[in-house]
Amino acid sequence: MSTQTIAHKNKKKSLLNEPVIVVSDLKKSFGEHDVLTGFNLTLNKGETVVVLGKSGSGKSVLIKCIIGLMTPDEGKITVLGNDVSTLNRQDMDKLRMRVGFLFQSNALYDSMTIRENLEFPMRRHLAKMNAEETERRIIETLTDVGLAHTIDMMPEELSGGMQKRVALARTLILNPEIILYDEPTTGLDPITGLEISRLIVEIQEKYQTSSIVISHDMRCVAETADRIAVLLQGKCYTLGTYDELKNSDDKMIKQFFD
Amino acid sequence: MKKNENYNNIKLGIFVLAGMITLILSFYMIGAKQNVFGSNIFIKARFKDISGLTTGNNVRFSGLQAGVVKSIKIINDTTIEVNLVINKSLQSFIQKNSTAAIANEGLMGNKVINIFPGTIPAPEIEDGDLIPTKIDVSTDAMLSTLNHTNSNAETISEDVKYIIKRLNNNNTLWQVLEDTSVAKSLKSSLTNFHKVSEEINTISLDLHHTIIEINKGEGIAGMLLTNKKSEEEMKSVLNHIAKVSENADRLSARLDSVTKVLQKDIATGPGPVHTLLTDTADVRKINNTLTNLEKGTLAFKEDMEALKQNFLFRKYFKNEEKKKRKEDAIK
Amino acid sequence: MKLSKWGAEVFRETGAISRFTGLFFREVFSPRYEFKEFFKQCFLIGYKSLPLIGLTGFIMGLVLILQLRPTLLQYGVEAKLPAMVSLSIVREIGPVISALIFAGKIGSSIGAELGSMRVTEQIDSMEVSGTNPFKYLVVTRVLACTLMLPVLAVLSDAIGIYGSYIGFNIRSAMSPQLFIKQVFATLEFQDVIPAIVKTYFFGFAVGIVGCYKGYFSKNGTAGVGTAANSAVVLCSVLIFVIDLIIVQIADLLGYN
Repeated sequence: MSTQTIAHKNKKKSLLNEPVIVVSDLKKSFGEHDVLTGFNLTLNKGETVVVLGKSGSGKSVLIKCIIGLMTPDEGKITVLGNDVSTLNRQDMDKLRMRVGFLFQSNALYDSMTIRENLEFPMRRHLAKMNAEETERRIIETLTDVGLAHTIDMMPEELSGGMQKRVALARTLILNPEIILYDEPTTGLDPITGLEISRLIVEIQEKYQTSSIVISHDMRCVAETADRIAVLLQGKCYTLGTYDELKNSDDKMIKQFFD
Repeated sequence: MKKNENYNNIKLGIFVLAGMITLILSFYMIGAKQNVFGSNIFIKARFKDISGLTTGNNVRFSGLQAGVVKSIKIINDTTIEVNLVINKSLQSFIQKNSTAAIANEGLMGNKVINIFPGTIPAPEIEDGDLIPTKIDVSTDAMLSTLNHTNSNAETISEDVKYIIKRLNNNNTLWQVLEDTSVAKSLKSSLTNFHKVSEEINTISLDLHHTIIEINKGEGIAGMLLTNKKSEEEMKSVLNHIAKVSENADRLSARLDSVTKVLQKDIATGPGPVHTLLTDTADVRKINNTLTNLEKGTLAFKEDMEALKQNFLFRKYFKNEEKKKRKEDAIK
Repeated sequence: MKLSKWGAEVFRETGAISRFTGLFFREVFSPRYEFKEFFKQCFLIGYKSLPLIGLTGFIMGLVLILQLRPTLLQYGVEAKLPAMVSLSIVREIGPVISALIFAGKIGSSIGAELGSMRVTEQIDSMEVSGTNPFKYLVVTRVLACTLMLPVLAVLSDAIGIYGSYIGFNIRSAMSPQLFIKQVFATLEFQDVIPAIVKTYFFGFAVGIVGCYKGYFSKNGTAGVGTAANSAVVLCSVLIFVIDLIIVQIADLLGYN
């Protein structure tokens, strides 16, 4: 796949100026080590932003702060109009229903079957849904990721790529408005990684979600990104499309494309 | 998957129930022993000294497990009240006069209260009754008695030792015991004694025969009467008899008056005779006397009959009869 | 310096576990209640441990009888064996051995399970899925431990007494009726009740410590092993400490 087609696709997409996530001046440090030192990012509806950065640069910390798994030291995060730091547990759970999170390690519950894994978020958020509808929805979502046959398997019986797909299915099953991807292709072979990247795009088109993708895998970035935010020294170093950044002369940016 | 889960829940249920049943069963078995469940009655007993009895100790009735000690309460410095829980099924057997005593279960076992049935019938015990107690021989008392017995035995054995020592030192006794001549003379005297007793035996046998013969009165009378005697002799005899009968006549007259006096005495009241006669022993004596008197009279009558039949006197009697008939005819 | 560091670590750990316990009590009474997971954990923690704990209980009873017999024979009180063994099993050995085995099996498995869930972000994933992982993982497991260990201990006592019956009949003979009668002639409520009560505390301690160690495990896969290991060690020590405390309290309350 050439970069031209992607650029073409990106241009075609009508970007709505309707922010779903606004991160402003986010600061987070672990002991002496400052990870985020005033990060700013805005995600618009229907858009995929890739946060590009080196390992340990605080990319994961960023999205964990967005979803509320970590509490920022300073700064404000607004997700779908809610200030995350002010939400109580119930409201946070309601918000999380609308925000999916794909973990780097998939985080499939390995004591449960695939069906139970997919059921798990549903029975939390959609307690009133009847068994038939639940079942139909599980199969539909699994079919979307191409793994309907694995429904009664245990996670450890699946390959890494399949696990990633199941994890994605589990994220999708609640029809979230926003999906946060934490290094979706890390640990996978290049071909599988590409498959996952394409799946992300497919999903994005089908479910009309807004996404933040954390990655340092350039193939994935090229495949998925509408915009790229480069995270350097705890700040959003630069923000731009794939082509813009690729053609940049900045040494700091260039290192990612080499 | 759902089926599997149900299956697991069933197993869990069995597991938990098994545990609970075990626990409840063991509680029941312990409780049954302590009479926590089931119907009971409470009775009280007061002791001066409970010698270490505690709540939960067993109560036995004639050796049968009847209940437990429920509580112990001190009433004053010499009285301790013990509350007993008694199995209701034994209520009808325990009477109000049953006695309670504290004893030991074995030599080193726990204290136990024994209830002994009363010796005479009494109504059955009721809830709240206070039953009498007695001091049973406790092990301590038993041991102290044993100790006392031991010291007594010691003194006795000391005395015995002293006596034996003295005996050993006493030469006369030993001489007596060792002298064979004494034994011989003792033996001969015993033989003599034997002979004497044999003789006494024969004498007594003879005496016996004599008495029997004496008892057979008719032999002597017969011998007397069958003898050929002279008429004079007979006449004197008859005279004698006449005298005798005269005397007897007078005697009877006097007897009659005496009887009258006696009757009067008896009838009128508390004279000495009255008391005398109420005494059964004297009555018996009098009775015997009277019987003897009767016997004597009978024998006398028989003698007279015999005289009548005798050919020697037949004539006389016939004449008498004729005289009598004549007198009748004249009349 | 090193000692003070160690002391500080002990205090920190104690404080953290206390907070964790406080959190447990806050979460346990508030909805929502994870009944399904609770029953699943009861099955895994209780039912699945029965063979192991039953076996150890059986062997304890049997061995105890065989060990005590020669001594009691010397004093000529062989008839007191059932009473003696049942008393020691019910009062001390049954609960403590069961709890130690339980700590070894369940404390480590909870530590390892929660540790690996933490490492592989499953706990975060639950959080994100709108499930309170503390309720779902910790509360259910601690409750299951607290409620299942007493059941296990009671069954272990019963199996242990059965084992002692077998042990007694290896060398001499006694009818089961008489044996049971002798056992219950000795046992009183004050023997059984504190012993049962303390198993609740043992179970609670195992659950809390296992969950705490797993829930806050760090340093990746190595941390999982550390979590499991330290959970067992701490559980075992705590069991003895709790035993000591409860025996003292029972003594003070006159249950002795």
